[in-house]
Amino acid sequence: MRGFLRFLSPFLGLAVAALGGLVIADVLWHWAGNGHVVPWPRDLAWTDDRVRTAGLITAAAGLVLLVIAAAARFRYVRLHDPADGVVVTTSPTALARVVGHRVRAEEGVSSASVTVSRRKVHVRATSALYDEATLRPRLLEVVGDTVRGLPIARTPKVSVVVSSPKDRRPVGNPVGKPEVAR
Amino acid sequence: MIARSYRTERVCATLLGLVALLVGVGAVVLHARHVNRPVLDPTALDWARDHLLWVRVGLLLLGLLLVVIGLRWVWRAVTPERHPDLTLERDVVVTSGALADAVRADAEAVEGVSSARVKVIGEPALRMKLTLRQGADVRVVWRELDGVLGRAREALGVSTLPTAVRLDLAARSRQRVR
Repeated sequence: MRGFLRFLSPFLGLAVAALGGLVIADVLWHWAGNGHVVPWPRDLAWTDDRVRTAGLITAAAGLVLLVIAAAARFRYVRLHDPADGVVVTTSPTALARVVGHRVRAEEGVSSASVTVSRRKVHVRATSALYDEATLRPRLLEVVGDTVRGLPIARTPKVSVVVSSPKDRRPVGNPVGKPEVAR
Repeated sequence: MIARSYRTERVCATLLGLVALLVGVGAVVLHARHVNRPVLDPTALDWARDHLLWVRVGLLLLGLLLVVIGLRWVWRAVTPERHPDLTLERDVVVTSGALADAVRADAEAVEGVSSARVKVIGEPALRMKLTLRQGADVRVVWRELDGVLGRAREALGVSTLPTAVRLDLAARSRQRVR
């Protein structure tokens, strides 16, 4: 989306400059006593359908621009500044890789996925060996230590979910005994 | 590639989008409420005629502002980023490429850094992207950064060297099982 915004920018800039030029030309032309450059519709009322159509098109174009501008945002996690005038950032993906690497190295974790935002680190791990009650506290500590060990300006919250076959019990059979077909 | 900031483009597009959205929604709402008055309201036009000089001056200033903003936006979008050379004492010129290469080589010597890209974007100001190896100690690299930039500051004879650093971590290399 950043490339599209860059492509769009010269045209948007030209449109803004042209609008300004039109305003200046209209005022100067009128000041010189030659009437208006722009044919202002004096008899157009708010109830006219053309107003609604123009309004809808303008609002839709504005909304599209807002979406493009929002999507072109760089997503980053700010680290502490090591010196005056030096700003250090990293991507949420890089942070997720660091955490993911650490979580996957833990015993009993068969796979893990990590999502990171500025405020939160969320880990979803799967384990065939341990149930959630056993593994989750350990992973919480590991992820917390990993995140606190990084020079992140604002430490994000950590949440861990463990998915294990040991936690899955058949409905109505809480003790996990095999059901007998009758 | 180290991307330059898109802040100006984003801010301009956001402001333009907001104005368009508000004007559009306003027109639709006034239409929906059956406001049976002309869009160019006679009351407003009478007021403008009574204060004609100030309205004209105001509109001229607004038009000028739009022209300046629009042309600056176009100029920024179509011109490539400047990478200025630095002039030190006694007319010694350090080219931006030489400075970027020196800082890059120094940064790549830091343990855990697999590659570095550096661009000179001001007089003097830098933008760096450091790619770290899997398992690299981010805190150590972060600490060593001050040393790298300190040496650059010392070499250039400046007290501050504004720098934007982006740390990235290399993706895990895929291993093929034979």
